Parts: sequence; structure tokens; C-alpha cells
Amino acid sequence: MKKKVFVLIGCALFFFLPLIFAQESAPAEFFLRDTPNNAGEQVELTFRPLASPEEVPEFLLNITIGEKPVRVRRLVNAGKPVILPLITHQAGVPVKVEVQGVLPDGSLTDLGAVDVVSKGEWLNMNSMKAFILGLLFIGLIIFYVGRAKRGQDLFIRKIPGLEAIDDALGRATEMGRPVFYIPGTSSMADVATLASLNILRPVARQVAKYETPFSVPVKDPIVVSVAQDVVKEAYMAAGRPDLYEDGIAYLASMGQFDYSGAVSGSMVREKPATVFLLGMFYAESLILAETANSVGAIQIAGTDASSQLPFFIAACDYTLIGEELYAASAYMSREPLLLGTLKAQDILKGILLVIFVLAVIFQLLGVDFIMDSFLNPQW
Amino acid sequence: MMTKDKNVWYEKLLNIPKQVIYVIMFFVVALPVLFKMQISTYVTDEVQRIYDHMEQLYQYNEENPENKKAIFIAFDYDPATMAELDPMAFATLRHAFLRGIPVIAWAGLPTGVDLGEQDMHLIAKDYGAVYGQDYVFLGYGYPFVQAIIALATDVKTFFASDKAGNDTRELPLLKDIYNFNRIGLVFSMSGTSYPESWVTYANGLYGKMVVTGSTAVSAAKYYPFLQTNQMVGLMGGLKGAAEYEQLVEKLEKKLNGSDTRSYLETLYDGKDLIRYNTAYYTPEFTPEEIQLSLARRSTARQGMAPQATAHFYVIILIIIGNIAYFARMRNSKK
Amino acid sequence: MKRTLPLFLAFFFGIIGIIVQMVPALKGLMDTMLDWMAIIAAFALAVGISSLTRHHMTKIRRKHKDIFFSYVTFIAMFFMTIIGLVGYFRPEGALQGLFENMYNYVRVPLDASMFALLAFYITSAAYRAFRARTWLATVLLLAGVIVMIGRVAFGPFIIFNDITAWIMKVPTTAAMRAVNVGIGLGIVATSIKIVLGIERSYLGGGE
Repeated sequence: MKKKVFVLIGCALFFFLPLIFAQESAPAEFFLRDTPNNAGEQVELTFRPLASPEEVPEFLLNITIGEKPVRVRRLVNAGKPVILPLITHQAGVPVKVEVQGVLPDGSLTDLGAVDVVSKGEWLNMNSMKAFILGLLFIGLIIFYVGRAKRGQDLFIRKIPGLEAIDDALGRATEMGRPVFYIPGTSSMADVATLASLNILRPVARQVAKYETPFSVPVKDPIVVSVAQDVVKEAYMAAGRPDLYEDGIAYLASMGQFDYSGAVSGSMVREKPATVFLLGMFYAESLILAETANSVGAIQIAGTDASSQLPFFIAACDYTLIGEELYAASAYMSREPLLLGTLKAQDILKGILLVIFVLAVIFQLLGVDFIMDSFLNPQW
Repeated sequence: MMTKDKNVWYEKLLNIPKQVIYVIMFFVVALPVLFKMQISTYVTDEVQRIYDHMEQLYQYNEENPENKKAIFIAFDYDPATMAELDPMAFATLRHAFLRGIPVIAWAGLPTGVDLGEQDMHLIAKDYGAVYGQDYVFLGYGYPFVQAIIALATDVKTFFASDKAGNDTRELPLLKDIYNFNRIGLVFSMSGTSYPESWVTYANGLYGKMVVTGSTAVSAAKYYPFLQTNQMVGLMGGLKGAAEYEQLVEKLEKKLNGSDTRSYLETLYDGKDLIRYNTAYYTPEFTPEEIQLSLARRSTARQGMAPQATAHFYVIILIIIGNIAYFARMRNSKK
Repeated sequence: MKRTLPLFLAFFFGIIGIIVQMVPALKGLMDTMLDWMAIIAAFALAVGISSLTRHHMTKIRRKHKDIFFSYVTFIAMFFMTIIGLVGYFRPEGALQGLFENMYNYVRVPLDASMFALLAFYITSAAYRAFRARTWLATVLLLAGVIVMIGRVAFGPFIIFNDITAWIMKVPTTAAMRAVNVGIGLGIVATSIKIVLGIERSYLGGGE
């Protein structure tokens, strides 16, 4: 008896299987999902046409997003899968897509509907790697700052550009000519500008001590007010508030080449003995550096704009390359806290270097996972 | 230390006054311009890739006429760098209009707004492209990052009106194409660091293919991005522009025939001129305009000639400087 | 207080900046902060104009020897502002055309000329700097000459084009990467120093 039942079931399956398959080979398969790693502002429809363009030339998508009226979108059957992002603007919005196939005779056939509710994630897994490296970095900084505070001596190599600052300022004093300090031509949002303002302080202090005329032409209005504060505090720290005036740091112009024209003009007229060009620079770098050279000034330049480095190296007496600019405030103040971060930075660079070398070796040996794990945004 | 005799030949050469160097440079640059010298250049891989990507986009649009993709151009430059960057924008626009690829654009710098708008109408006129239907200029994309982010959702919410004051919801082009989903390539033409931001946001966050047109002085820093495919193409300085210009000219000759003058003369004959709003351009050419339009097709290549002579002048100077330097070294050893 | 409040704000918004990057659900907060930045940027213009005006007023008051340029600055500033504003409200008037002409035929050529000066400055800088003093300088010099020829290569020089392509793609890219990795770490380190309040000289005093 049991045998007969099995045979019957077997026969039934044999009979119905093609029907089941026929259902599966629908003209298209599609699903909706919430786009990962975002705030729920978008969901995605993955649509894969299975029927040939001759059988079903077009599909109609009836899209309902939240309370909005139904939007009909025509999709030409190109035989290729498409991913359509549907914008929901915020999390918690229900999205429904009803799909119809347009047959060659113009009639419509319902292919079903899918729906999903958009949701925001609490963690962006794409940023995880950066976050972990950031934590590692902060850990290293805290560790080395602690060591530096306990009085451990941290070695720092000589940076000729920074060593030369004292001599350059002394020279200006001897010649009785002014010192120009150009804190880059970018905004406060640029870290290079911040690094430059950090160097401005000790320079301004020294200038105040020597009673040398000082000028800080700036291109960005916000940088002007910060630079004025920095210079003012430095003059007070040097005990010469009487020498300070607001006009030392001033807005020369807000346009790129108007600024370089204005600053070059004042260089030619006032003939500074020393010119600092520290911060972010663009195409105006060489105009400023060459003008400074032509009036016989010593130029100390430094930038993290890699495309402007060659010009500074060719035209200036001293150039701080890239990260040396960031190291400058630690170098000049020798404050243990700042030296500690410098050390942490070097250690992290060492770690990265080892990873790079290992990745290259493994890649050459045909083992790809190290490289892949770095290229893959998710861990 | 031995005293230097200022009258020895090598000391004189080592101390050529700057003014002399500058005056010769002036003539070296001016003469090829005056004599209208032109040199053709070979095409580098990074420019060929831009051309190929545009052609692929054209193929895609041919296959999906209902779902056409556009290109996005960011005029991130100002008058100072227009000598180098304008020819790039011209060539890109030409290629797009020749292939019927829709163009959406804005300017990333306030001083580039008028410039970008003028460029677009100027080139559109050469191909009878219709404003609002084939191309749109949105205006000043500020604040920069937010504007890019708006392109990920709906750019019409950010720009309620375009530069000309039209309601963006009324423009037929923006009805279909209003965010990155339907943008195939993003061009950033700039002498600033804006292309890097386009890589960070458009490529990094939204996976768009970014093409950069940069001034020659900034081009070197973009090579690492090319290798990692974060940028799919690079036009560096006038040379890059000249290469693309050459490729597009070939295409234009293939599509519109080798006699560009008569093509321009007859372009608007028998066309329904009501489609063209004369606020953007008048749909007919004066003889002077045809002359200018023909000259505009080789702006970059004309610029290559003075660049070549200037390069050779600098090389000669370097050689002279080094000969004098070695002569001085040899003499001081004696 | 004068020091503590800015330090606290730097810390607070620095941390928020990191969190917003990590938590997509807080994207709205980032948009709000970006709005604030736009508002601050608008105020900055006023700060800038006031600084510029004060600087040149002082020069004029003290009868500085370059007083002429201060007058030029003021005249240009007021002239362009007035015709720009009037032209904006009355686009059909003559001032709008004047504004456009000032832009197209004064500002554009001035800007382009400043940029063109680079050609002259590059010549004198290259002439001065490209000397075969050491073997490293010699390598730099040779590479520079090859790239200069390669960039404008035609006819018999076409071989330089391949060498140039190699120089740009291999050594230049490698060196740029090295510099960029260092710069990247420097930027992160400086940002962390500012957020944690270790670096404070940008606030004026340090102690």
C-alpha cells in the first residue's frame, strides 16, 4: 500500500514539476531590498528580465513610495539585469512595486508585486576599517603622549627648513626689512591652514621680540580673524603688545590671482628680507615664490599640495615637504604632548609600510587575500 | 674663497638678467601665435580612455533610447585658467552633442558661472542642440559638497531654478535625468583641488566614473587616481585638450562630412526654428561666427605650438646654465 | 573661559563629525551642520570686507607711500558692487551690460595675464634650479628635460612620448603616493590633536 502511495506521489510530482518550473521561469525575477549602510533614504529594486525582448519587449513598474501617488516607469527589456535605486528621503517609508509585462500585442500581464520598508542603519560598515585604524591611532597617541609626559626623551630628526627660521628672522632684523608670512591660500577647513597658523605663533613671537616689521596677507576672511588673534597673542607673549596692530594680518583679496597680484605688489614695494609660504597653495605658488626671490628675500616654503611642491623646491631656499609642515609645531615647541603624537604617527606609518610590503610580497606569490581584504570596503 | 671675476664668459652666462630671459620668452611664445603655427600631437592612453567611455555611453543610449544616460560637467574653473581648460570643455561638449548625449552642468566657482554658460550655448549652436532638452546649465553649485550630495537624490530640490531662471521642474531633460542614476560620466574641469572632491564623493560614495580636465601644473597629482581607476581619464593641460580635440575632430568629419564650413552654413536650413529660444543663441550663423567657430575647433592645437617652442627655449636655457656651471667648477678646481 | 569654550566646541563637533560618518541614521544632523557652515561662510564675507576696508583706511589715514593702491582698491570695490547691484535689479538697464563688459574685458584678461606670468617665472626658476650639482639633481634635470620634450613631441621626437608616459605612470605615481600617505597621516594626526585639544596654538596662546 505504502509503495503505491509513493508511486502515486512520484507520478504526481512528475506531472506537476514542469508546471512548477513553468511558474519559476516567469518573464522576470525581481526583488526589493533596503539599501545597506545608509540612513534609509533609499531602497533598491533588482530587476532581472528572463523572457527575451521578442517575447516581452517592455515592462511597466508601478512604483508607490509612501503616501505619494503611483508612478509608472517604463523599462525596456534589454536582456540585462538592472538595479533601480528608489529614493524614499527618510527611514520608515513603505515602498511597493507592482510589475507588469507588456506583450508584443500591447496587452498587459501581471507579474506580481514586491514591497519593503526603508530603514536606516546604526552603523556604516563601509567606514568600519577607517574607524578601527582611527582607534588604533588614538591609542598610539595616548600611549606615546603618556611616555613623553613621564619625561622620556623622544628623538626628532633635523628639519633644515625649520632650523633656518631663526636665522631668516635675524637676517630681516639686521637688514631692517620686513618679514612676510603667507598662511596658504585655502580656508580654515584645510588642515594645512591650521598647521600653518600653528607655525605663525612662534614666528610672530620672535618677530615681536626683534621689533621687525611684520605682514600677514591672507586670502580667506575667516583665516584673517584667526591669524589676527594668533599674532596678537604672540605679541603679548613676547611682551610687546605696544607693537601690535590689527593691520598686521589683513585680507589682501579673495580671488586667487588678485591675491597673488596684491601680495606680489607689496613684496616689490616693501622688499621683505624673509618670506614664509606655509600652507595650502594652488597655481599661484610659483608667482609668490619667484617674486620673493626677485626682491632678494629668503623663502621658507612648505605645503601639502603635492602638485605645487616642485615649484617650491625649484624656487625657494627651504621647502617643508608634505607632512613636515604638520610636524613643525611639535618641532618648534618641543612640547612632549606634540612630540608624542609625532611618534605615534611614525609608528602607524611603520605599520602601514609593513602591510604594504607584505601585501606586495603575497600578491607576487599569488596569495590575494591581504590585498582583497584591504580593497573590500567591508570587513 | 677665491674672488669671482664677473667678466668671465661663464659668470656672465650664469647671471643672465631675468629681464633678458623674460623678453626672449615673450617672443618665443608670441611668434608661433602670430604665424598661426599648429602642431598635431599623439594621443595618450588617459585621453583615449575618455573618448572610449563616451563612445560606450553613446552605444548604451542607442540600445536604451528610453533610458538614456547623460554626462555631467562641472565647470570648476575661472577666467585665469580658461586658456587651458576651455578647449577641454569645448571638445567634451562637441563629443556629447555629436553623439546626442544629454549634458547637465554647473560651475563650482562663482567666477566660472558666466564662463560655463557661455561655453555651453556656444558649442550647442554648432550642433543645433536645444536648451532644456539636450543640455541644461544649473548655475553655481554652492555649497560644493551639498550640491554633489543633492545629485545623489534629486538635483531639482537643490536648484529650484537654473542659471537662466527657468523652473527646473519644467525642463524636459531634468524630468527624466535628475540624479546620478542616469549620469554615465562626471567631468570636472579645474585648476583647483575640486577633482579630488569629485573622486571622494561622486566616485567614493556613489561609484560614478570621474574624468578630470586639469591644468598642466596640477596634472601630476592625479596619476595615482588613474591607476586605481578612481578616475577613468585625465586631460592634462593644453596637450590633453589638443589630443581630445583631435579625436573629436576626426569623429565630426566622419559624421558631418569633411567640409565643416558648409555643414555650419546649412545647419539651420529647413529646421523648425521655433524650438530654439533666442535667449540662448540665434539659430543662424554670420560669416564671422563661422570663421570663429572653425578656429575654435583647433584652439588647443594652436596653443601647442607656442608651448613647444617655450619648452625648447627652457631646455636650451638649462643646457647653457649647466655648461656655464661646469666651466665654473672646472676653473675653481684649477 | 575664553580658551575652554572653543576647545570644548572643537572637541564636541569633532567627535560628532566622526560619529556622523559612522552612523548613517544621523545623516540629517550632518546636513544641518553643513547648513551652518554655509551661514558662517556668508558672514565671513562681511568680516573680509571689514578687514580689507580697515587695512586700506589705515593706510590712507597715515598717508602711507602706497596710498594710490588703496584708492584703486576702494574705487574698484564700490564701482563693481554698485553697478552689479543696480544691474541685478534692473537687468534691462545699461549698468547690467557695463557689469558684464567689466567682467569679460577687464577681469577675465587680468586674471588670465596673472596666470600667464607663470610661463615667465617657470623659465627663470628652471634656469636657476636645474643645475647638475649632485647626481640626484642630475636625475631630476634629465627627467625634467625628457618630460618637457615628450609633452610637445612631434616627428622625430616621438620616442620621448613613450619615455614620458613611463616617467609619469611609474616613478611619479610612486613618489606622489609616498608623499600622499605621509600627508594623509599628518592630516589625521593634526585633526586628532585638535579634537583632543592637544594642539591649541591655532587659538592664539598655547599656555
